[in-house]
Amino acid sequence: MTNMKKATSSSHTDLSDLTRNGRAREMYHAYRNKVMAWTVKRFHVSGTEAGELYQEAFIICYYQVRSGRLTEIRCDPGTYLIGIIKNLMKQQRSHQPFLSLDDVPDTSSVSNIAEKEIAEAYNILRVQQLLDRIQDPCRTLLKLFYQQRFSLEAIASRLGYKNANVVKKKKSQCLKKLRDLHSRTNQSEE
Amino acid sequence: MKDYSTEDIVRYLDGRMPENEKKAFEQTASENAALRDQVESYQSLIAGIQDKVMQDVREEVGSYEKGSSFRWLRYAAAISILAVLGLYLIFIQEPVYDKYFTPYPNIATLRSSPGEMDAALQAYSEGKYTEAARSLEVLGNKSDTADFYLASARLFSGESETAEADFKRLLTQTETFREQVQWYLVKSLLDQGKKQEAREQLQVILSDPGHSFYLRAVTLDEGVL
Repeated sequence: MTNMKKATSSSHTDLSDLTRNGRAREMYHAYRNKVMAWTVKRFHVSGTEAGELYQEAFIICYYQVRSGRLTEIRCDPGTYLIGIIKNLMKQQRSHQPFLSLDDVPDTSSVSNIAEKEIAEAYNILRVQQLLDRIQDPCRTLLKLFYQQRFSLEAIASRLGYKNANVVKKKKSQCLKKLRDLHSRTNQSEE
Repeated sequence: MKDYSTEDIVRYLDGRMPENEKKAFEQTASENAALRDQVESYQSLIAGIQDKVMQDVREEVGSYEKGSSFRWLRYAAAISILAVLGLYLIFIQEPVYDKYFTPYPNIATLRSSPGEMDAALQAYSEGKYTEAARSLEVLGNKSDTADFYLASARLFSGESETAEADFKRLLTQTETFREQVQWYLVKSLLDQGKKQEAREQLQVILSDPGHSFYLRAVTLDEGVL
């Protein structure tokens, strides 16, 4: 990533300009092939799976920057993304919780990665991915209420429900469905 | 000790529980770990759904992979097709296509923008499209980025005819937002009831499987047009 600023020392990377126009896309493509190749080799996954993991890792990293939770890392961005992927693999493939990145290559400088924050960001990502997977009307209903901030009355009118109370009840059922799906996928990942 | 249903928990988290009932609920939760766990679990779920930064980041990063077969894009495509079919039945009298045209996120973030664009882009990010459009108009023709967000702001504030002209002009003058412009031009045409022209514009996107909006175009084409 040629434009990523090296900050306080040569081993630190300032990510604060990642939110500038086009920089995220530039970084995404700068590390994509290298990190995917590492992932295929290290975890014996297909190129498609490596691509999925890279995209999820990048989303998590970019989310951390955009939400102000991350401004600087003590390694190059590629190593940081590898660190996230390793955490994702741990969560998806073993009973181990999010923990250290000890055996990621060259990660002595990554030891400050906040695994808890990575796990939190991943959880938010998973919720939104699962929301895209549940069927309508639940998907639309939950998005209208929680993302678009529609009132229960407006949703009733839009989705053809009798009244706001019916929507309220349906919304609870949809949340329960999403929660069950979330629990099931967490268990299957463990 | 009273048993609380999922509906009660959601009502509590939505802030719709009357004060006296809320106190009793909180008292029970403080004594009942299972209920407390459920409340925390739903709270986390709702916070995840609502997280706007994650919504924007996913949309933006998703656009980086042209024709990607990555997992969540596959899910999105599969679900979108189901969604279109479901929605078509539900909204047969409604402009269902609106579901496929979420406003393009503000990726020209404030720090990178000229200072005078800050307020306009902030308004855009907050969904205040009319305000954003007026602010961007005042700035004049400063860049392709400003022009694109002006057209988008006009589109989502209901000025579809003006937006159509903006998008058509952008198509001739810039490559920067070409795919986005092609996609939102479809909405501007649909908003005006120009279904045939919208269909033709959609075919431009459908002819390129690598187009960033190809999957959405497929679902729109199958479900609506």
